[in-house]
Amino acid sequence: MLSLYNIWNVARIETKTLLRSWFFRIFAILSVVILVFFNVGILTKAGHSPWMFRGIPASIPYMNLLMLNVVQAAIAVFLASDFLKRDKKLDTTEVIYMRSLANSDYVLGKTLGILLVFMALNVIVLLVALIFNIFFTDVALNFGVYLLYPLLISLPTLVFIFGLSFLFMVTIQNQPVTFIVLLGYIALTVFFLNQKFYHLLDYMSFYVPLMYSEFVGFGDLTNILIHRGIYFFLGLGFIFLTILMIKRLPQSVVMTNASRFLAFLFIIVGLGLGVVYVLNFSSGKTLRSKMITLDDRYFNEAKVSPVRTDLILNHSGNEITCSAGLLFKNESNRPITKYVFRLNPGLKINRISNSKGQIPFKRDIHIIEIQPVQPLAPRMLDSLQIDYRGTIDERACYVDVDEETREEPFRYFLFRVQKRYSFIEPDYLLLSPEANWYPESGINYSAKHPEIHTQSFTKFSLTVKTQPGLIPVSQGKPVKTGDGEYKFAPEFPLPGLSLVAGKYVEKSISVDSVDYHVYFLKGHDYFAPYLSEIDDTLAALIRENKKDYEVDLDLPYLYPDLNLVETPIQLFSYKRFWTEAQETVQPEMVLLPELGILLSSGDFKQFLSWQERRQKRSNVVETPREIQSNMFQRFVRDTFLGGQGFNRFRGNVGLRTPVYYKIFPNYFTFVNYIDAPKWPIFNVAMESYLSSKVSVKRSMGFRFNEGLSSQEKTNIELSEKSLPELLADPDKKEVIPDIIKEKGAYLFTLLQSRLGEEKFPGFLSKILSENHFKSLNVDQIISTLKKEFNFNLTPYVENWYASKKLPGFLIGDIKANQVLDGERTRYQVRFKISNIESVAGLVEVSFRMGGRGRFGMGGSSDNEVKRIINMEGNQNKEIGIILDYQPRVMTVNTFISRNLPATMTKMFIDLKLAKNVKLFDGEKIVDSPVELQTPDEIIVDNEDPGFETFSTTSESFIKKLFKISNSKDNKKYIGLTFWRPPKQWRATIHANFYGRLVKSGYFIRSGDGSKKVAWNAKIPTSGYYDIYYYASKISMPWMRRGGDKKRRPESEQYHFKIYHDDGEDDTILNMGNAENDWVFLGSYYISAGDAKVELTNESKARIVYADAVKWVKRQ
Amino acid sequence: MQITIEGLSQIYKNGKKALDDVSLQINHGMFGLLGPNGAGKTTLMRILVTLMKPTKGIVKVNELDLLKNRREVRAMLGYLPQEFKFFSKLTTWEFLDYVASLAGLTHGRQRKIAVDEMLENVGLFEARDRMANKLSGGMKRRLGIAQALIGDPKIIVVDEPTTGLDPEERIRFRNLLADLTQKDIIIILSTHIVSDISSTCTDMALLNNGELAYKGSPDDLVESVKGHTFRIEAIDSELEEIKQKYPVIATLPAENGWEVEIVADELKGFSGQEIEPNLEHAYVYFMDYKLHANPDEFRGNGGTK
Repeated sequence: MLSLYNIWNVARIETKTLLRSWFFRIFAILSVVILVFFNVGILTKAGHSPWMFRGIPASIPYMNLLMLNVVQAAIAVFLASDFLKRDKKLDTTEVIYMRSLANSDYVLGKTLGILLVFMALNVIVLLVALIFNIFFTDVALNFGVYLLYPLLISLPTLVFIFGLSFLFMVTIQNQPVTFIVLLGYIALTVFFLNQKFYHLLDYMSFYVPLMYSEFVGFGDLTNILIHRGIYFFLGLGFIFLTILMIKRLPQSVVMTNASRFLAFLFIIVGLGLGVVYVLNFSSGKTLRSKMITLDDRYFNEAKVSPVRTDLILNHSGNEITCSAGLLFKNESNRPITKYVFRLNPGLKINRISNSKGQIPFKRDIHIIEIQPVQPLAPRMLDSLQIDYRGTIDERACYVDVDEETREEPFRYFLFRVQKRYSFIEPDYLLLSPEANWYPESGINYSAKHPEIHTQSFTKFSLTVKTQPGLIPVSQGKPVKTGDGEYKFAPEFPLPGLSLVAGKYVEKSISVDSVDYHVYFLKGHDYFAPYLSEIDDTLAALIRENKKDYEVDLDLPYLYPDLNLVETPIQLFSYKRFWTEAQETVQPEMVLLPELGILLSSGDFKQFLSWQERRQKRSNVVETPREIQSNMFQRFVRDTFLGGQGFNRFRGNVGLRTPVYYKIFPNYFTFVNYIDAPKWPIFNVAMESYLSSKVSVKRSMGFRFNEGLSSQEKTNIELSEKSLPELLADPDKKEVIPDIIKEKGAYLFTLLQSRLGEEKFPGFLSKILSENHFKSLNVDQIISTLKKEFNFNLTPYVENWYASKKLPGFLIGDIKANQVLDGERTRYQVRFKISNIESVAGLVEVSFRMGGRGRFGMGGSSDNEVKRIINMEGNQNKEIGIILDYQPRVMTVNTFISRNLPATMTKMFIDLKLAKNVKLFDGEKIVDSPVELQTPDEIIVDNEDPGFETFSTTSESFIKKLFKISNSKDNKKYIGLTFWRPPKQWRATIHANFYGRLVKSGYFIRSGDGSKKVAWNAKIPTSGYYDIYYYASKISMPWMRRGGDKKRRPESEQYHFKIYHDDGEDDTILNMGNAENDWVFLGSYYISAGDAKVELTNESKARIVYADAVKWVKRQ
Repeated sequence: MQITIEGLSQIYKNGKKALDDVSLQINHGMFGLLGPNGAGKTTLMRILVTLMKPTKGIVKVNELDLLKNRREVRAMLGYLPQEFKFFSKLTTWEFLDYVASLAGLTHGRQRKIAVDEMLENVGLFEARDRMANKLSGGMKRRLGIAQALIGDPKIIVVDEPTTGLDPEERIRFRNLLADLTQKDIIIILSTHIVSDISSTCTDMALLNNGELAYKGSPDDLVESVKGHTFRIEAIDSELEEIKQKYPVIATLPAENGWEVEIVADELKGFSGQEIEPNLEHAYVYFMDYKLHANPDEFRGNGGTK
């Protein structure tokens, strides 16, 4: 029989022994010390960690335990395997083994002993965390999670590791081997296999979504328990197997049989849970694929157009009961014989009726099919009432999102969060249109044509009955009609209705015609102290922001309210290419993350300390009021207006998921819709164009960090495939948003250039305002353009949408001078431009004046002059521009073209006065194209066939074994990774490289000279040739200002080998002195035939670039 | 108290027979187990203390089958292995307390008293807070004895208990055991030191090469070699010859050379005086002459523990 007394005895002694082992002591002390420092760094005022590290109460224990767990898992292997080794080594063990003690008592006692020691360490670490939590942070204390995390994180990990180590030890009887095998296993699971099978192998719970929300807890406790249960039970199973296999004669048959049974049972339970875990995920996958098949089948069915949807919703426990009154219309030209609606499959229909009574229906997953008694004739109305109840099956949300993206963890820093799309909990409710919580007409998604996605506007009303104490938020003003009963009647037709209800506290402020409400969980108004000084100016600040934003956007905010609603941290949304909006933004509603922790500017405390430090440094004294108002402005701009583009880079270290809380969709997406069946991305292109007017432009620096710019990616993709082809290619989904953005910019710049900069904005805002809250057919836009501007957009759009050919521009003969225009000093810039392709295109030339700011930073400058040039196919133009101020930078944007990079810049240092220059402002068509090369020059660029690289690629064995490939490896161009240059010659794009259309070059990490490139040319006639190398100066973005030259010491030499008639010459070029231009390498006699120049990667510079070589025949 | 061993065999994986069909009855009192290295003493003892499962045969403790009733049998056992040196990181007191707790002393306070008393008895009370690993060889041995005796075991199995003890400690140990023989318990003692047995054991067995060579009282064994023990007076030149011819028990320097005690069937070529045999003589005679008669039995000797 199992003797608790014996188990405890063995455990007691094991604990004592372990606590005396120096190995454990050192490990324990080190862990605690490191974690103390870590907590100091993260949580105290001395640290500067972002808000997300400490914003949410659970994050402190979660972070501490995750870090401890990784180390303790490894240490546990050693200590666990040590017990059996000790038993073997110590001759005194025999006097224990011969005592009346069941093997199960012994092994369980040992396990318990080790476990107690480790759990004690966990408790100490948690106490440290608790002390920091209470005394050094203003984060609320959630004591419950301090108890839950060790049970969910450490316990299963330890039990599993103990069991596994024991089992290995009793099987192979060798501690070093056990240790190596198990550490190898740990490394394998942590570094390579952690993502496989939905993190099934992640026994350390490094990737288990354990973030705890103050709203709803873990998000999916069942899933967590299953996952942790796998390891807990497998561990137990292994421990019981160890009991059977330990080298000691068993004491009783009963116990042996019981151990055998339990070992078997636990392992079966563990494996069973593993199967359940995987099935849970794959069942979602199956469901979605079935839904997609159904969607495809119903996609082409004629849809009724909703007119009104009146919802009565009863929320109780984990269920909603709903009654939906639908009024709809046939807006097509043909009678509709079948009504198709969709509703989340978790919601079961009780009854469908119309004015005449109950009617039959067919339900297939989410599809509801109803046969009307008689077909609905065009322009006729019909109505239905659908009663249903149930919960939201979140597996049915975002069916269009591919499984890979779906499986990507929602992570920031070390934390993993369960992805949730909707909530129906006793205390909380969140239903957005994605949850499909009310019946919607027809199918709006087809996997075959994901680009076809239409939007309609419906007039909604909603009655909510929920438990008293829950405050519901929806579109429209809430009217309380009873205890826990509210009515909402949104003023305008909406593309969708959303409902949130929770134990919210509401604060509001009215500014002009809009009521701004903030809904947060009680106690979550951590921001309140940071607004204390600006109570009276808040309205003015809001007004100012709104005004500025609307001036930039040239669109009005139409809703009477704006609700900022705090939501559980688990709420997740995906970006779709057919819209800028994400589910986190709803009509007149922004669903903010819990305690603002995903917001880069949500950390007011840190901002305050920055400000204080800045003040000290610069001796500027700002009043608390000024600081607070700056803080508020920054928060509003970063979060709602400009978006998180720029700040995300620094602030949200480790956030893998883009977040979206922009207010923009409330200005366009939820207000207008342009229906363009022939060109499905027309609406999103316009959306993208409009939103780009108010979004923070990414700095150039950002671009380097990411690799290629959106424009470059677009041009590379579109030079290979047309837009419809790309849209249909699932592999290209990542670049589609970039392409749409560039396409949008192109189309509307074109319109702007055709309509004129003055008329275009007026035209746009007029046509949009005339069509608020309804779908607008693109034909109407086209006909208006024809009528009012005599401009036929159709061929342009057709070409824009479907054309596979791209224009290509050469720019040359750039001349800039100071000139005298009468008495005035002005500046003349002239250049030539050629479109060497047969299709038309656009070029935008802009000048930045004066010495303002750093290049590339911030948004548009007031000091900017822009000119749009329309270029027909194979056209050459000469352009003249007269400026009133000295231009500093000229930027030429070729939009969608074969040019890489598509944007070029030219800097102007102080311009010289040129006399007797004829001023020219405008453009004229000329015959001769831009020539970049004289007839006596032979140029071999890295894009030319004469260029070759010599370096072998290698891939690590493990990567090969587990087929972990880097998609970057097979791309033609990679980003300029200054901090980690490639070990092989790789191509990249940069404006400073030589090239006709494609300004590219190769780069490599400098080395011993074994990796070479060669330029091979065919020399037509024998003679003396001057050989030049194009010394492209590529500077790191953060060294842009002047410091560049100093950082290029004399030692930055390139090693060339030049082949000529008398053999080969080794030549050294000092890049430190070279300008970004052709540099003379030497003069040699070369006979007609092959000529070659080689460059090696030998250099003291960090990176060696290979670009172009030129042979010029001497006259 | 009675242990019955019937047809006990132990064959190791390499085919070596450590015990070969041993049948034996051990009654209460002190039982001596004698035999050369590798005779199977340790194997027999390890089987008795349930550390090892015999290949064949039955061991019964008071009608309890050792194979089936390990729990009950283990509860009766006290054991001191031959090697007893390496401890986990525990103090003398903690170690003994641990063993005591497993030996059935479940009551905390009573156990504490028993442990203190036992440490007093083996003279380790002063060393109770020292780490067991840091004790001297003799002290470790005493701790070993203490742990074998704690908890009033009914069967005490001690393997070479007195090696490493100084003469005083040996006597103390002997007395300790002698006190215990008053009770109805069995003490099984294996030893090289024949005098340990002669002075304490009422019953004994002689193992050779895994087989039971003798079983009876030490006195009977001594009796059986009467007339085969001699003392020879020899000069230096004779000593070598004697050593080659006969097993020598003792060599003492005498006036004209040496006094040599030997065992022999009969004395040939030397003149000597017959002396009264002791157990040591008997053991050597028995090993050399009785078992020599069957030379096959000696093959493959040595190595078993």
